[in-house]
Amino acid sequence: MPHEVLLDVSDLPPPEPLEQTLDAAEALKPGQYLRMLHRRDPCMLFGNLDNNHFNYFQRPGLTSAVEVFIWRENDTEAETAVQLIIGEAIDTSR
Amino acid sequence: MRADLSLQQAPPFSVPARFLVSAPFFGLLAALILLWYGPEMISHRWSPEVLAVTHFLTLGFLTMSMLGAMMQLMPVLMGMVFPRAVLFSGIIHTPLFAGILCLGLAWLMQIDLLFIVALVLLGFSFSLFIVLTADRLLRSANRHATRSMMLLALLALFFTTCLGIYLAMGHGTETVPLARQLTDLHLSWGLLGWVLLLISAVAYQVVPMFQITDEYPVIVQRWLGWLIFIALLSLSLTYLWPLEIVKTISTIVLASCLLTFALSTLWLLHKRRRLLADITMRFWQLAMSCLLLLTSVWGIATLIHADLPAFLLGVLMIHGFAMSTINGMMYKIIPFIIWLHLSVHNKNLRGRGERSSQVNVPHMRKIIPEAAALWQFRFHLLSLVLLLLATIWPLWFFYPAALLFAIAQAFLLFNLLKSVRFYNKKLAELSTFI
Repeated sequence: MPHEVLLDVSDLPPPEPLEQTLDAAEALKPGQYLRMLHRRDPCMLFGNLDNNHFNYFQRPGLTSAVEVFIWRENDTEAETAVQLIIGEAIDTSR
Repeated sequence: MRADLSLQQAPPFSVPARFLVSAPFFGLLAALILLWYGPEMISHRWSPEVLAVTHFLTLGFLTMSMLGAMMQLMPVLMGMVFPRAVLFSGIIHTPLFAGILCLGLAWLMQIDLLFIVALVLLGFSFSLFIVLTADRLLRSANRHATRSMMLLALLALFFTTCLGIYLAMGHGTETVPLARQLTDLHLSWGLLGWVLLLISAVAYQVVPMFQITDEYPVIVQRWLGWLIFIALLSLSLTYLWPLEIVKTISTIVLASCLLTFALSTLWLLHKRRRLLADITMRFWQLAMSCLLLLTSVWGIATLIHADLPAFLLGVLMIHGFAMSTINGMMYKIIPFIIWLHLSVHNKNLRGRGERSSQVNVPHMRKIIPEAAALWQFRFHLLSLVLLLLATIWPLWFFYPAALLFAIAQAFLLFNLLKSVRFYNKKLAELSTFI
């Protein structure tokens, strides 16, 4: 089973990026992470991810302005997969 | 299964709604005054009816909706929280609403005491809003250009208010002389400072977000607001030290800023990623075209020393640019906050394991139907064209223009009230379970 679930919301108007990202995050299976591509900082996403027990990491994207990696709290397999991609340890102590 | 939504810092629905719904009420009132008094009222610039209509539009429509939009957007876009938002918005909205009515009635009925009541109410409302909002903005960790632009806009509102209070005292008391020479400065700070600065500050965020465009160029975001503000300050100083060269340079800078903002917005919209046009985009395009036309007409008339019809630039700026922009943004802001609040209420039910009690939250585009918004846009556009013609041939076009303007404002009020009713209905369905 591939680790990555890719979701490109770059061309969607609000609130579709938020809705689709939360839907896709909820559908993640153990070991999977979501790689969400967006044209701008998702201003209401992170608080919602916190409330729903997801971890995340945002960085400038390669093909989009922003990319956000999202995985379930305590899913160490998914977190390790994200670490391998971004090449650094992730601070999830928010 | 869906993850839950949270309101984050978004204020309760009633906070922005009371301001946004009040705006077309004043727009309609202005249109009815035009119809009642007829074309004679625009025979000269200083007629009391013209001053009443102008303030119903600039304070009642523009400022009213801009304060409501700020209270909604600042928490969501910039992470700032207004403490006790419902109480705060009530304390701002009530004297603002009453103050605008008193100011208009003071001119229409020629009651001096009403000027004093109006300036106390408006002075209180604006001072409180400016102080508390500036305090929140200064404390905010957000460093987006929108923050500094909003601070400059608030400062411009402060200067506009001070000049306005002084002018109103000239109307309402015998101890203070009526300083008509300050009127142009008052309207420059109001329209080019407060209105233009705030609209551009918000545009930097909402145009890329809702119209799916690239970001505004960094140089525009960083410097445009400062240039406008400095040019307005320089213009103000020429009232104390009349230096023609400073006045000329300031005017050129202001005109260049208007052109830059209008052209960059039109360019972004032209190059948008999503080709599907929505109603808000039509309003943006109309508003920016008016800004271009305004600047061109103003520039050409200044160069060739031609006299323009007295109200041409005012109609282009207030109705064509500012009201079009705000009207368009209302069709995004209201459906978005209704969607957000209903989704959060649904979430509360899910959190309590009562999924069967959830209400159906429609897509944002369905909350105010596209067809209703499109018809309202058509009436708005037609009223603008007729109002422009009425500034040149008032006897032919004044009444049709005023009638179309009244229909456009009544239609907007109807669309907004219908969406609020829809929200209340859904909320009532939910309340039986929450």
